[in-house]
Amino acid sequence: MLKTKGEQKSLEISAERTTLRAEWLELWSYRDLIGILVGRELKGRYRQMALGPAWIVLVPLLNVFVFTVIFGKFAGLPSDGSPYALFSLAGVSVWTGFATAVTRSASSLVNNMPLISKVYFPRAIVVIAAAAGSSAEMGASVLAFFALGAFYGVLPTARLAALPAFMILALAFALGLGLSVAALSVRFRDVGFGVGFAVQLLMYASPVVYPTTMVPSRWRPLFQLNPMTSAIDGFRWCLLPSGAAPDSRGLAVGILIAVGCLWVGIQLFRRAEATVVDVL
Amino acid sequence: MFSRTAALEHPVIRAEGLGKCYMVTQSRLSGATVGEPGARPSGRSPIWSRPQRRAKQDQQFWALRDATFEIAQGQVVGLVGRNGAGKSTLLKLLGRVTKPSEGRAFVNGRVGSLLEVGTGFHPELTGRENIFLNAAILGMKRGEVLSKFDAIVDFAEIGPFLDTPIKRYSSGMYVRLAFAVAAHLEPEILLVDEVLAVGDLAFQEKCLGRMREVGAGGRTVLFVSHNMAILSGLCSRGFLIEGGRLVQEGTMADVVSAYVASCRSSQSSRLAERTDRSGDGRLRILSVLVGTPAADGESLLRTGEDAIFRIRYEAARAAPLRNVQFSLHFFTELNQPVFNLWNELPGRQFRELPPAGEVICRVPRLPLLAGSYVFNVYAEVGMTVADWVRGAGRVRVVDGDYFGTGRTVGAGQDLVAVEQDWEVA
Repeated sequence: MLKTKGEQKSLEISAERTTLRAEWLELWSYRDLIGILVGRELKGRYRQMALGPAWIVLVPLLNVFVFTVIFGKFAGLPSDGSPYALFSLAGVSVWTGFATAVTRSASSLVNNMPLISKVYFPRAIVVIAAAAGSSAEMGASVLAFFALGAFYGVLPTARLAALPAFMILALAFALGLGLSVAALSVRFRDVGFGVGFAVQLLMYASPVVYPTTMVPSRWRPLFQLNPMTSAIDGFRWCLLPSGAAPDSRGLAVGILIAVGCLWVGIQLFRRAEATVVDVL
Repeated sequence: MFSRTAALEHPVIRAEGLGKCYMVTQSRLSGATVGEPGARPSGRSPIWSRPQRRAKQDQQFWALRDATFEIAQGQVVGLVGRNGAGKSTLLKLLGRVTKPSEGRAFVNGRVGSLLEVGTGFHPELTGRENIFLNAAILGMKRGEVLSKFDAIVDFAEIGPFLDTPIKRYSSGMYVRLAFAVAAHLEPEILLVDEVLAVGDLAFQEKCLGRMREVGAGGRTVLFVSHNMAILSGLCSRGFLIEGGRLVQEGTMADVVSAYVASCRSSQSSRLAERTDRSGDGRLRILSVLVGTPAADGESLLRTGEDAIFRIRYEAARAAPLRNVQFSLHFFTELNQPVFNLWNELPGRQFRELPPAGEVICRVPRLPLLAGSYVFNVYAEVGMTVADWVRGAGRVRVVDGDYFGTGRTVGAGQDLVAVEQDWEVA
């Protein structure tokens, strides 16, 4: 229904930035749009592909196949007592979602320029939608894990209930990075260009193909500065019967860093937001 | 946040000293490029501010300044002004696509906008999906959209292509859908920027009709157009914007005549000194002399007599110019295009020209009927725009003996005289 005149608020347009609270409320009022953009993000990604949505499961499985052959068989990396394929798939499922969330959200402003330059809505929505869309990838990988797990005779346990928490940790960190990169890429295009490479590097600094236990204990605190360490360990704990609970101090640090990163991202983005249309 | 005392009972839009500043980076190669808005009111510069070393080359450019006005509910307001005067900037600010650099505006109601051919469409999505996307951007619920859906599809005439991605649409289909969506999703305020030029005539008519309905239905429309006839027919109120300033507001008829008059007076200033030109400046047009074989530089032509246009130019560097093209495009006072004089049309090419000189265009037996006409002058060097001045000059045509029968045609509604033969079949 159209609002009647009485309840209509006057919208102020000015150079000043609105308060953070007002921005949250505005984001909330645009939640339908987030849903539509997430749907678009997913549909758009697999449209015009012969295998379509099957890719969402195929990519992590193919990755795991390669990792199992190279790191499991040839390099003989340990896997904390689980079959290496399952061990790496648990890591890959968070990681793939995280990586797509970062790269997608980083380029979301540029990708959505046709929309942004013509009509107003809170710009953060395109970044949030890009990151949120990647949770579907994580979910699909987890389903792939159950399929492969059944093959190895590994069944889900009650610990699965904690999985969404680690998903949120990974996505919050991804959104923080994505917002920062999106904000900076308004100014410097090279930031967007370098992000793919940086994410690649970060994968080897995260326990995706090897267990955290392989990292010498004196380096562990440094290693745990990366929130993905706790997120991946958390995923393994939830999915693998032999998975160890993530180190609680490491987890606390990871959460702190992820939240800090999200805060920095929000601040950077709020400043860059105003000039996006003029610069891009 | 809430409007304070106001002259109007319920202004739908109220602007107070609204302004938008861009930084223009001067670069010899590419002319001017527009960068970020400057003059952050807070004075704080974030880390992504332009590096210091380039600061000297940047200049502030106020696309719009000091715009103060009120618009009441249901008014259909026409914005007129030359290209680059700030009309589109004003619409962008009101549509919140970009933020103002100073001042403020209060907007009451849902804003639908059609800025520069296109609305918030996503090229990868189908027509159907884009309708829902737009509705969500406007803040409408799904049920609301469904009730309007058929009307939109009908109006846009895109039925068979509803599930085709927008990127495969023709530009006509695209604009039709854009207009249909913007006009049917019941925004309380509709911003329309010069989009109708793309559609065919029948569709233009339909759009104008729809805009009339929207206005009559108590909604507010802000409409930018260069077509004075359309503006006069549609708008009750007009704003004249010149050089980023709102210089006049009043009835549409008054504003149109003020605009026409201002074009006339500014064109008397010498072409070489004009700064409202675009192009990379490799060549600069100094003057366009209009005359007849009998009298040079009269700016007065006669129907049926030969007309001569002399374009004097100068290159930025003292080297011969290669592959140069010149064009003089004529319009009526109401901005209706009439004809184009362009050396490529009759197949004349200027492969090499001296760095300064003059080219001459002759029009035998001018077919234009009596009246006043405006022309744009345009020059291209090696496929890129070198100089382009809109409204570069004006010619007056007086009645003449086109057919050599001693009978003049008279102006009336017509624009041209046409050679004709009559006989009994």
